[in-house]
Amino acid sequence: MESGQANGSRLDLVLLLLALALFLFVSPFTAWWAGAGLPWYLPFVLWGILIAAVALHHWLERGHGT
Amino acid sequence: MALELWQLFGVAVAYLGLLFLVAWLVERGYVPERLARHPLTITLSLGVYATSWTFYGSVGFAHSAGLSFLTIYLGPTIAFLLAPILLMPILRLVREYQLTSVADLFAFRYPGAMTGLVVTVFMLLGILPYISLQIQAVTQSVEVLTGRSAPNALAFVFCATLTVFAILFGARHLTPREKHSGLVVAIAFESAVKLLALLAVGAFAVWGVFGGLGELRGWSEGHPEATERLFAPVTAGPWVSLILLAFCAAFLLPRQFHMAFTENPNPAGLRAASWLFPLYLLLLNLPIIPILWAGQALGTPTDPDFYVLGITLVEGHGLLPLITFIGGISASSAMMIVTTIALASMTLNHCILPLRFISRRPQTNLYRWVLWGKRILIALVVAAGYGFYRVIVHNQGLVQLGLISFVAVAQLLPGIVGVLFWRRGTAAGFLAGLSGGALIWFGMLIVPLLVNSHILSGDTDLVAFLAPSGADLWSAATFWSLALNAFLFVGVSLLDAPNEAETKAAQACAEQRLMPLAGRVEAASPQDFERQLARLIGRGAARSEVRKALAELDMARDELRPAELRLLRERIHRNLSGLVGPALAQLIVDDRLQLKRRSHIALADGIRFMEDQLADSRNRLRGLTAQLHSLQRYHRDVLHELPLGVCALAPDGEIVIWNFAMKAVSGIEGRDAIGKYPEDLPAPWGAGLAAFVAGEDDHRFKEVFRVGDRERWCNLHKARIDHGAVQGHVEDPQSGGTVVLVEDRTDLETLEAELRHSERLASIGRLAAGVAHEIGNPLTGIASLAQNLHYDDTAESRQQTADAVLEQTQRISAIVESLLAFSHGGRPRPLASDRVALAPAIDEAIRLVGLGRTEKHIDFRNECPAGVAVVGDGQLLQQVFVNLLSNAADASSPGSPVVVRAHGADGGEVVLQVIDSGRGIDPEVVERLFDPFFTTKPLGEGTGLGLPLIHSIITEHGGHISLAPGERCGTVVTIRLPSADAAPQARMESAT
Repeated sequence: MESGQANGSRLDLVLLLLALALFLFVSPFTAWWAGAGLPWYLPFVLWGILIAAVALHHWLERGHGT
Repeated sequence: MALELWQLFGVAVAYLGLLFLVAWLVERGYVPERLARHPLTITLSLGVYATSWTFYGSVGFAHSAGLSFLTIYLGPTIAFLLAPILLMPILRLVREYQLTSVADLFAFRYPGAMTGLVVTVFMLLGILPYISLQIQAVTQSVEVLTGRSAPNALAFVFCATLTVFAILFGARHLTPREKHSGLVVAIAFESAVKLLALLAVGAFAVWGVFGGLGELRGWSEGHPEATERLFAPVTAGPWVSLILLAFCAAFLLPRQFHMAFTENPNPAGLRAASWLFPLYLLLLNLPIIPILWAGQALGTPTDPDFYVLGITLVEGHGLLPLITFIGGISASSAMMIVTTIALASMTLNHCILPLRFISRRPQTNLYRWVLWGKRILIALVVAAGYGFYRVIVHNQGLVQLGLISFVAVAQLLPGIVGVLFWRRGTAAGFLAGLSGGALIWFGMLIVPLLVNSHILSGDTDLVAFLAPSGADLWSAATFWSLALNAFLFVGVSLLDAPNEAETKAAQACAEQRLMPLAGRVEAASPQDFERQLARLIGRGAARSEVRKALAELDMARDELRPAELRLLRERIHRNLSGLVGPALAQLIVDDRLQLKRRSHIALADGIRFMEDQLADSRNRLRGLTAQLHSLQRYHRDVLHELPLGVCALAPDGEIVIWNFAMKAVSGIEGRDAIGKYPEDLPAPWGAGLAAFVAGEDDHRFKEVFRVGDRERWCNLHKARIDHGAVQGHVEDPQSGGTVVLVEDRTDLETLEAELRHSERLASIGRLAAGVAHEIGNPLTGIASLAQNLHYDDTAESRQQTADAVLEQTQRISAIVESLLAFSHGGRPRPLASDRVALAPAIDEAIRLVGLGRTEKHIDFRNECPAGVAVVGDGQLLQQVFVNLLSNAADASSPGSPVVVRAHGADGGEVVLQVIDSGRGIDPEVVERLFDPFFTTKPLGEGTGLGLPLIHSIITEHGGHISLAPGERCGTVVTIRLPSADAAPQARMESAT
């Protein structure tokens, strides 16, 4: 049986992912990567990292049989 | 190479035909259904988000606003990342309550006729610029490809063609709950096509224009200003506002809502889309910058919005422009088809059908009305988009038109917070907020558009005031509209107390579960349902809806149980909701399937509902709640496993609990009993239980239920559950009613009857010597008389001898009859309630006992007055008297008296005493005398069952027995029995 605690912790993971998304794209960090003279594809790399994190979360959820 | 207009038209129609073929193959089952349910298909179907704006406009957006074009896809990424707490709850609501559009969702959460109407009208207005964007993109792409101005008729022909295909996809026939598996696969196919087309153009840009990735990097290093132009708007432009707008659009745009929630055949698909859909968007955007730079590098003469097409033409690549054009057609057509289907459904459900029903003109065929209504509305929505396209001057960028719609859709954000999280929000608050936000949207975004198109004249003062020079228009419009919207929503909601419907809806939304069903339907059968519904939706539709609901619930057509009919009403409500929207469905069931005014919660369903909910949510329970749940399960199990039949009735008499023992006793399954009234149960239980529940007795003993050849002996007990029925003003549905306990005594009764019979036979055995003697004497007399017959020579003397013989035989016959009567029967039978006169009964007992005790010459004295009688079973009472007199005779010395007296007493009783003058009883053993197998007689002379059986018989008669020492010697046995001459009430009191 799945415990409520495990359920809650996965909800925490969603909020953690949200925090990561906001950090990457809606925070002063955005100004940093936009002004650092980095390659044009950098935002796509950051975006890809975020998607990979969400995919990992999804994979973990499936592992828990939900 | 310039393409001809007719070639492009032919390609477009052929492509749309291919799409229709895909949809048709899926719907006809030629393509496996699981394809439509596959997470990848669902993800690709969500790709309807990417329209011409993405396909063509993103490059133009990147040209004008750098990396800001990514915000339109980062917003959905965040929205889908939050799928478990944002999208899944909406999907659950949509599925559970059969909601088919975003207007349905808000009309469900904020009940009222205006909610759906306002949302629909606002969405229609808000999406028109978006539809016109698609038309503009197609006509301009044709212009780019043909190199000529597109004829005016082109846009019209495109719209007409799309109307036909939209009807073919979404309104070819009526489907429950807007489920079109063919449409899902067709849109997924379109998404795949536009992705492949854009990747092909991107690959062409990198390898065809630049010559490879290294060259592309080299070009960017050689043009640092191009990279700077990309990054600069990230900090200076409306970056955050656009992410917010796209976040809202990702699931609130009518087409997104339609594909993500309404059409979605597989919830797991939405979970997978939480990362697959952002990945799709990422892949779709990867080629944008290379295409932009390729266009700049080539000096493409087209508008940057159409670099996607332009760069393919510069190089004169034959097939690629056509593939790109098909990709653009995919993007535009998918958006227009899904949007028009969604908007037509919303308009029909919230604007047209309610007016029709309010006018009280009964429908002859609801299905035909809905179908044709949708078809006409699809055409009207496309026509409205075409009209908007015609009136605006086509100097607007594709992105600008799209963003106007995004700001409109964002006005639903406060409302969605109320749907998912804030229970206090009211319909008035929602409408006030939406109206406020819509006004700002109209003033800041639509009015300037109309002024620029010379539809309106004058200044755009509101824009100048709210977005002074230097401020970004999109950020200002987003901020002011949402701020006013949220302020009004919260403010008005707090000032306006939510009504009952709003409270229930908020609870259902926030807790993500169904509410227990309340009330009882006035219609008493499925046939009644049909008759009632036929008056409003037509006979055919009514019959079809009722039968469909019955089939879905696996219910019989003759179902009469109130709780099941309540479920049927709910199912019809939901099915109608999928057909005509929740507001109208509510209207129909409220009007035609009314609930009784003063009815209680259907407790059977309430209990079933709560147990289901607890079972479903046990994983989420913790702490005290989990313990309470465990306790509840324990109590339920105790109740169900109790070896005593338990049948609980709701306050309205409906059976809500029927435990396993009840099933074993009655042979009636719980599912067949629960939800019924006791009188509706099969015979003999129905009448028996109903009479007991309705009667005044709280206990009934030895009730006989005859089931076929078998008899069931049961003791019935009942108790009212009255406490706490009303707590303040709130009726507690779990209180009140009656609980009935059914004690199956069949086995015990059989055993007792056999014991009594054995005891009687034992008594007869003890009497055997006396009986032989009593029968022997007359037989000797008869023999002597028979011998004398030889010498009787006169008729008179023979007559005397014959009379004497007859007298002796009658004496024998009387003895035999007494013995037979005494010993008769070993099977349980109902307790008789005859009038038993004591004096003759005692005489008979004395005669029987006297048969076996001739040598002791006991002086039996029957001093019972002639008129004293009791109510009871003569045979059983005879057994009592025989046993008592036998015991008295055994305890008495030869020749001593045994007196039997009787007299009436207070309380409708008769007191009977058996007094002997024997050796008496030891006070220490008095209390044990009624214990089975306890005897004071010598070993082998007593069974120890006589007195316990006497006690049992007297108790069954509602009487009482006691033993006490006599005044000087001997024992006095006192029996109190209900008098036959007392009033029935007094007898009953005496019995209880």
